[in-house]
Amino acid sequence: MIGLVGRKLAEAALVALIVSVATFLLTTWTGDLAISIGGLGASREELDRLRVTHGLDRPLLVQYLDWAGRALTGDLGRSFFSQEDVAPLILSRLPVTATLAVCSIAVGVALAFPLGIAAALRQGSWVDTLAQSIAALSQAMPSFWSGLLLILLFGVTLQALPISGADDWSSFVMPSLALGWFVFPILLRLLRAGMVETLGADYIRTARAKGLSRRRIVLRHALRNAVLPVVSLAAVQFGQLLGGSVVVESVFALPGIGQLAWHAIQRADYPVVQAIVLFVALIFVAMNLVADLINGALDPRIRRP
Amino acid sequence: MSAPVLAVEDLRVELATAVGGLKAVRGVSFAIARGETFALVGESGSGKSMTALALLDLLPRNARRSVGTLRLDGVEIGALPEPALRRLRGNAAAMVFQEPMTALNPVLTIGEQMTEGLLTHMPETPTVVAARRAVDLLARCGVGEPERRLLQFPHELSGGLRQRVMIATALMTGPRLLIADEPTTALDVTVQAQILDLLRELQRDLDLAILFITHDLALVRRFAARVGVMYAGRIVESGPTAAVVEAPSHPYTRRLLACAPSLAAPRGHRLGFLSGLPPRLLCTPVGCQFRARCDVAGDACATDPPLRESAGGVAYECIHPPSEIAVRGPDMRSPPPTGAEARAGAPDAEAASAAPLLRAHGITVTYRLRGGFLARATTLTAVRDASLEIPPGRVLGLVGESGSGKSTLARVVLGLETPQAGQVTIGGMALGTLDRRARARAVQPVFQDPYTSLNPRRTIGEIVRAPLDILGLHARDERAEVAAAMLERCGLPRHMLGAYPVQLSGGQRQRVAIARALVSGPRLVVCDEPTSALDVSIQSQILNLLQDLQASLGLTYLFISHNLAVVRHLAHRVAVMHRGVLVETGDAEQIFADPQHAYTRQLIAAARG
Repeated sequence: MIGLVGRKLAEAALVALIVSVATFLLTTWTGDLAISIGGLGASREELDRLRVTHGLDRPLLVQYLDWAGRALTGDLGRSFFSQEDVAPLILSRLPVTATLAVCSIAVGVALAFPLGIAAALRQGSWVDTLAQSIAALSQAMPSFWSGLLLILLFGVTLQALPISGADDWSSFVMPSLALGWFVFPILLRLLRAGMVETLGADYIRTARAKGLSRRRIVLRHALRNAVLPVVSLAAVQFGQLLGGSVVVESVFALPGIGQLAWHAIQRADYPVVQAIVLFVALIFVAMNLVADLINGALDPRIRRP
Repeated sequence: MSAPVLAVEDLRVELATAVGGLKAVRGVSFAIARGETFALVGESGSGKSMTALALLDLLPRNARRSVGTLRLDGVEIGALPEPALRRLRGNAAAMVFQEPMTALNPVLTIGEQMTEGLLTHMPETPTVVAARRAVDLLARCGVGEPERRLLQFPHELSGGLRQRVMIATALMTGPRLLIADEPTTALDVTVQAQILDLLRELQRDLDLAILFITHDLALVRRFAARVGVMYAGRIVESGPTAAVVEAPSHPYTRRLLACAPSLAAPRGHRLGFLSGLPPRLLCTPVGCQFRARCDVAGDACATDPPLRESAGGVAYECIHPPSEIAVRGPDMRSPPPTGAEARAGAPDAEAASAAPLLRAHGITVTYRLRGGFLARATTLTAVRDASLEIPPGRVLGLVGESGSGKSTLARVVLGLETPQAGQVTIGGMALGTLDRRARARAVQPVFQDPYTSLNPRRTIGEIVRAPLDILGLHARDERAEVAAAMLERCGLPRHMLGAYPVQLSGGQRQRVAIARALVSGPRLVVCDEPTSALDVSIQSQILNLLQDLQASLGLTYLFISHNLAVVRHLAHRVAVMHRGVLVETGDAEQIFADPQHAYTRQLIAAARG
């Protein structure tokens, strides 16, 4: 297991390096930074001066090393717009997004597991049809729409929950439902397919022949195998959620990372955009690493090949 | 005699399918006494596994069983509800399944899987006591380091060890009845012999009643005192094994026995065969279900056959008395057809003196096993310094167990694998110097699994014709006719040209695979386990076909099999492979009569039992 952790960490570090290069090139090549800073009306001399003061005249490699070196020490530059340091800016938005991500994935898992297991156990029955219909419906509903419906019901009609802001726990109920509702169908499908497959496996027949209880056969023998790919997917989805949901954060006016990204893109605030892209990519790498490690812990064939 | 451990009467199983109810088991009755082994033998689809699963109602969800009487230890259990049945499963009666690779849960430890049954049935048992019993039973079943095994996972054990674990697990609760469904089918022949020895020992020591399900008649002869032969959902013949095997009464049993190549039969004889396929058991089948394939069948067979008694306590279901079957049955061990005599006799002077068609010299194949990204690579030598020769028009049988490197060597001969050392020449030309077309003209393969070796989206006609198109043989407008003629020669009617592989049975598909291999007129054919996926009666058809084609077309075969009887039946010379090394090569007669290498002796002993 220690060997596996070391190997996966080394792999993750290598991916992170590649990601940082890609992020850097992405923002350098998508436009002239001097124009973004100086504005379209800036004169040629002004632009040249901006290039020198921001070091944009240096070779690309030097610029990258400079940027990456400072990023490693936590210095991700300053916002062109507000002149704030970018790193604290992102960190200040993280608690909102992280809370939302945790609650959303919890909602998704809480919906997907019972429905997925029930559907697989009664494959082809009305339970299965119902579960799959709910999944299809949920996948067909964009989260801004389900968010608006929630606002109409709980916020406007019942006046039970706040419709915007992030003041206390009640502010997170509707956004989490909207996002959880959005992530659950894929989890459900994967779990159902996995359960159907493992329930037909030879070792399930062996378990039945041993006279084990149905509960033990389903939870210990079947689910333990079917859950492996679901864990990987849930980790990746969690990474996606940690990157912030632009749509849901906008609908509920949550001051999270998604909202920050949206505003930064609108204002061509390159240091902020670059930092968020890097942050999201690194979260992804980290979540894949976590998924690999959880799978290693759950699956002896990975842990002890 | 005390009451039997298991007594079954009129067991029926019906499967719900898209086209209606399929009567998989149609009134099966038998009994097994303490310390006795009763074998149910039959081909795929005969209902033998369904019978085994139906006893404790472990059937798939689309199956329904009904049973006249079903007594376990004298207690009627046929009408028990699910919770009561669950208390019997793995307790009074335990099961061992075929695939030790998949029958154990990959993510749970051996220890958990061994003890969970006992802890379910006797929840007051302390875990340490259960673990100690597991250790004892593992040791009893010949598993070394039993304490360490409890913490291991299935993938860390070999197939033979896993099957020992399965057997030990089944014995945890001290069952009276052990139901073993093809317990050795997936294992190598030497491991198979060890597992059978173990079962025999356990049976003697624990006074177990064993229901042994198998397709392998040779195994039954060695292992079971009594046997029931199943066909189309019924036991068509049953009695003491010796009587059934030595003097079969039912026409099906007679045919089936004649189909199986044996280590005892004279070499080079023609195998008996069964034409046609078993019936599909939809609607309510009436009359003898074997009559369509039976050569003594008459009008009377359209009514349900009576149960007859013949000598030696054998009962069989057929309207014909034994004398009639014996008289009217054709000679099933007919001599080989003209042209094939040469292969049966001593090596003829011409073949012996001619330059070998295939010469492989010093072949070594090494694989780099990549441990994955950033992991250390290791190497595996699959074939080490292997040399063999086959004269034109002869058959070399290559024998070995799984992982011995025989298929790798076959791939080298086919030019699909480039060896690290050594050279292959076919007809005097080095394989490495031939371009792919010339290579394809010289040598063609027939692979094991006819279900995956044919492109499912091409018609039979297209599949057989493809080599001619690729190699540019014959005039374009003649190719379809050449392909059709080759198919006919391989025993498939012309109307099948437009069919797709999915519409064909396994035996028919293998005929297509053979026709495809031969249509371009190769001199050498590499047959890699060509009959291992087929039932005995179909295997005999394919072996006879390969034998006829070899004789009439003067073909040269490199014939690979794990089945010694099959190799002995077909091959002039035999090469034995063990862990990548050819340990012994010689004349077929001589190798089977007087094996020199210890491993060869071990293989033959294991196959004889």
